[in-house]
Amino acid sequence: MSVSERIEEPTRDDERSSAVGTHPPVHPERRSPPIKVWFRHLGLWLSVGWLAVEIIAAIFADFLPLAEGRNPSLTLDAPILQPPQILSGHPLGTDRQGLDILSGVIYGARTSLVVGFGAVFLGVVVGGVLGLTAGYYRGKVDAGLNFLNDALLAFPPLIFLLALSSVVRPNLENVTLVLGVLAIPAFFRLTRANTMAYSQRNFVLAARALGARSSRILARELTPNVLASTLAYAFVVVAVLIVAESSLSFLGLSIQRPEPTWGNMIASGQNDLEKHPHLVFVPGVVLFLTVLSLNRIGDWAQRRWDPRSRKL
Amino acid sequence: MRLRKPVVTASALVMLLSAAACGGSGGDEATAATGTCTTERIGGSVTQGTLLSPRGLDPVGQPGAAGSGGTEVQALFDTLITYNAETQAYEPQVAQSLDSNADHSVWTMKLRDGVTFGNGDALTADDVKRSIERHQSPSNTQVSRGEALTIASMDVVDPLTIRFTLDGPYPSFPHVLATDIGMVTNPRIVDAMGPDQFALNPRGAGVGPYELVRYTPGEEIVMAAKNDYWGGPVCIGTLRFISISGADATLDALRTGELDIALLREPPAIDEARAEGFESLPTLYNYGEGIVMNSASNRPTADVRLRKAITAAIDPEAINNRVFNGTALATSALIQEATPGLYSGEKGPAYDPDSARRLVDEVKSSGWNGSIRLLADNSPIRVNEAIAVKALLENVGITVELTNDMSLAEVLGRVASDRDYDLVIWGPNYTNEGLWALMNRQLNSQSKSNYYGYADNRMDAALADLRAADTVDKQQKIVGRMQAILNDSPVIANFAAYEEDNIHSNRVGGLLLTRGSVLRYDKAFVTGS
Amino acid sequence: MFHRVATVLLRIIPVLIVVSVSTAVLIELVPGDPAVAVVGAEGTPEQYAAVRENLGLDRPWFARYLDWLNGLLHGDLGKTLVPPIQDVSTLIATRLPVTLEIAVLSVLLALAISIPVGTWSAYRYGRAFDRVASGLSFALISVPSFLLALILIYFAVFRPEAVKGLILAACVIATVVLAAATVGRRGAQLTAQGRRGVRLFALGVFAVGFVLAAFLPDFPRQGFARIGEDGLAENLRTIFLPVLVLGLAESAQLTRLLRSDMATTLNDDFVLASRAQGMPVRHILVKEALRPSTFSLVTVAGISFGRLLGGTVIVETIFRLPGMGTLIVESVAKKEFMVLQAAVLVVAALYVLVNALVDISYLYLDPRTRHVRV
Repeated sequence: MSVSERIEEPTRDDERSSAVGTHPPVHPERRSPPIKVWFRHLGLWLSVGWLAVEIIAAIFADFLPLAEGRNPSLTLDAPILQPPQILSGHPLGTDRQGLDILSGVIYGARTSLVVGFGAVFLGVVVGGVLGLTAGYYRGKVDAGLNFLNDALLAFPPLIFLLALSSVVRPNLENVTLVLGVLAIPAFFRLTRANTMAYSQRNFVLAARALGARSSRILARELTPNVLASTLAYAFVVVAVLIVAESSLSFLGLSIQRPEPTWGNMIASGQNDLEKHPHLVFVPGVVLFLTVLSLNRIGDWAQRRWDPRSRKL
Repeated sequence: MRLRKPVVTASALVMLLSAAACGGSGGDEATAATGTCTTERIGGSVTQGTLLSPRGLDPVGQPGAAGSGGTEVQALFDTLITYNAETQAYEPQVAQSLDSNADHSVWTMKLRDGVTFGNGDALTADDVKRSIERHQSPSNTQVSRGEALTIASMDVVDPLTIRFTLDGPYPSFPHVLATDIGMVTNPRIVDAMGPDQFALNPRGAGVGPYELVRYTPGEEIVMAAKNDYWGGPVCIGTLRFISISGADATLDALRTGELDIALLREPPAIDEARAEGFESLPTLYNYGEGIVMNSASNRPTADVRLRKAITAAIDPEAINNRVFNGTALATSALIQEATPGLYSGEKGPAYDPDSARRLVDEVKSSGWNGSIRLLADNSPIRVNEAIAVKALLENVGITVELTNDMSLAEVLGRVASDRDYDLVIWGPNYTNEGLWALMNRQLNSQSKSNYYGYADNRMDAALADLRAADTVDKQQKIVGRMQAILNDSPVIANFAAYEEDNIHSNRVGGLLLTRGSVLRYDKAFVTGS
Repeated sequence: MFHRVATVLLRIIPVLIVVSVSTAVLIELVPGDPAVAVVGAEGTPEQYAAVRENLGLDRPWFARYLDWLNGLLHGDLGKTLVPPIQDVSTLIATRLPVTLEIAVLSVLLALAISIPVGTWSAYRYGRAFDRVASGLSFALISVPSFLLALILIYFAVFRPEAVKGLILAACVIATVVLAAATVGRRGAQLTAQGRRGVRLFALGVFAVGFVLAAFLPDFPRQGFARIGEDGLAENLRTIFLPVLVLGLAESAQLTRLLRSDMATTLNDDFVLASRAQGMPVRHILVKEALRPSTFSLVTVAGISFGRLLGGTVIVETIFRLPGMGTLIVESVAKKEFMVLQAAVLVVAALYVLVNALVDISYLYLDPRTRHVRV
């Protein structure tokens, strides 16, 4: 059991961050009946449901009869530019090459989810460790890491992505890596701020007084506390990175056709926007719903676990 | 609520009215503008869309086609000789006459009297000589240098006469003076400004119908008509060139009137534009799109059996359907049947997957592992073509490793400079005008710009004969011979001949099409506004 | 105080050095050969080699970087590699105003939307308007900018009649709702003057909607008209859609921020005191509640502006605007390292400068935060 779990203490309010309200103004006439409480969380349940469906579809994509729909050699006779017809063999339509859009969207989901969560994992691990170090040790280490962080942030992000994507050949691993690097500063900042705040608290001082080594303090006391807010923030970052990957894809710098990603499906459909809008809007809607769900879950998670840092 | 009903009814009424008012805009029923530029028709402005921004406005240093700067420099500088696309013949333009000796190795050109540059200097034969020497200089890295070097020496006989002594008989020599080499630049201005500055601001240095008003590289070029053009009155007062990329965006701009003229290359877009009633001025490019096979000795495709297999595995019709909706000129032949004068009925390789499979097995049994690399740039059409090609090749047992994530510039580098590729989706683009110059540069085994690694004595001999051919009939026979050679030892598995079409609204008339899809504006005019 | 300002400003320089060195390294790693872009496709191997030597393309990257740095310190940003050969400074001078104009107008649009919407949402926290507004801003945050741009293009460029119909319908509905708020039980809660005010506002909304629907210009699919050459009206017509895309996205963020900020402020004692004194709603919202929040609003708006300077790439690409974003994308593709170094430096410098200014203004305006560094 860590020291923090044994010593309770009132939180010291940071006046600036309390400007972010967590309590809406109380209106005397509003009493929330149970059905309304559930309804207020309807958005959350829908979001979780959507993501669950996507994840399951992405995992089992290879077991569904979808792969043939994406193999250009096999679609030489398939109908092209077919609009979505729910009850046909191509429920979401086909593109210019006869490739099925439903399977494209599902395989694209696989790419986006892997890239999003993989990159965030990288960001959390690297950014988190660096942030903990900087926030705890302060001094020159902090100054140096902070400086590097600022330099990384000063680089216009899309341009940074552009350059990096031109350097490495765009496959799944490289794209995940590149986006992970982009996620590091955000997590660095977050964990550093939280570490600094927690470092001043009594339970850390007590642990040090008891003779605990820095590494133990970092691991047992600080990390669990910092982790909650970091993970809450992670959902939002996954959403941001999925958008970033689709933007890269749209510019032609990520995984190339015929491997489907939402971004490259939208990009290849934009020239037919006027006559065949389904090429853009079907992957577009799926992308939107995914990002919306992640934002919704992230919003709820932040409200629950880390109300103070919502401004980031 | 009592107030709601009448408001709701009123709002519904308003919505119905507005929906009715916003009916579709009627189509243009105007007839095509005919005739040529006369003094009554002076006035108006035209905006043209180009494919690429030009590499500056100096004729020296241009690739020499309409896609990148050709029409712009034509308007500023005019050419000594012009190619009439309708009659398929060369005519003197700035020059008054161009005559050759018996074996077409010495040519004498007479200039018109009274032609002046934009700054007032008179055009002399010496200016022509110095202008052509700029193309011959080693600092010129474009194809015009090779073409200009067919002139071994130039003699200024008198201020209006110049004699060209060539490096050999060349009946189609007028072609050279119809390209950028025939665009005379005022040497005094060039020397005063230096070539870099001159490319940004060539004011006063051309004898063409237009003078430069404004040049913002990458954005627009604006020109104004001259009132002392040697060829008579210039009708269209202002020309504006902007580059819009993407066929659909270009078509939209044409429809909304943002552009009056645009160069289109994609077959479906050209088809659509023609169907909607736009005027068309097309130029046909043979060997327009295909799979170029690297014949260099360290490549799998050095084996001619594999090249023949790949050629037999490609079905131009299938690709046409898949990629172009059936709107392209699908052919595997060197000369597509619509090519004026040169089509002799010779057919290209036939689609024969069984023969392809047989040949592939043969080559595999000689030690090849069955795998080959296909390169395509990341433009949407090329990616679509690459996907279709890969499917067709895998259909005959070839394993294809596709790389389609490089930009066109990168692919150009890989192919032209590094020569590091097996198969690449490419368009050699041979027009019937100046055919020898184009083919010789690429297919002659001695040519330094032969990045196909292609070496075949029969082709070298045919090329030499083609250069010396002085009638269209002779050229047709030689080209027929070339088709047979290429069927036996292919360099490209072609699947379409391309058209570049100068699509324009019928508001503009009097446009003259010349070589390389370049448009001449010296006799053009606008009707209406 | 001066010491802190100086520290902030001095930190910019090493950051920019790191940025420019990273750019040099990155461009070195990007595959491709600018010699081909310079010479063209039909050059001979000797010509390519000659060009490579002339332009110093074979030298190591740090030699090129030091040369560039030397030039920078003398005010010379170099020339482009690929013809037409221009001064890099001229090129940037033509491209930067475009991006600046878009960024500034987007932030202004975002503020113009978010201040009224955020304020009213906070005032009506949890009620119908707030729910709709919050839902919309949440949805907007979740739409990637390129998708939003394509959606707007689909409607505004290809289906302008639908857009006009929608505008008219929306304004009619708004008018109806406002008018309904002035009659019956709800209307009785307002003063006579209040009722008249709301009805006038409803009339205004209807008139604006009508005028918009009748006179909405056609927006071009792409392109940019410069003020100096084609006039202000053309200029605004060409950047309307790009600014709308960026402004909507930013406004969603700003609205959420303002809403939560003001919701808390509205609960504070001094506001309750004003309400008890019977101050009108407008006074409370604007003079009491908005003021403490403008401060963080301006901060975030400033940061948005800085971010937009480097973030307009997608919008510039889709709408083919000749700004810094497209300049950088083209330079990476063509390996124009002189242009890229200068362009990235300019964008990064502006971003860092804006952030520094925001930090300084923060220090200056809010004494509570002078000693808290996050």
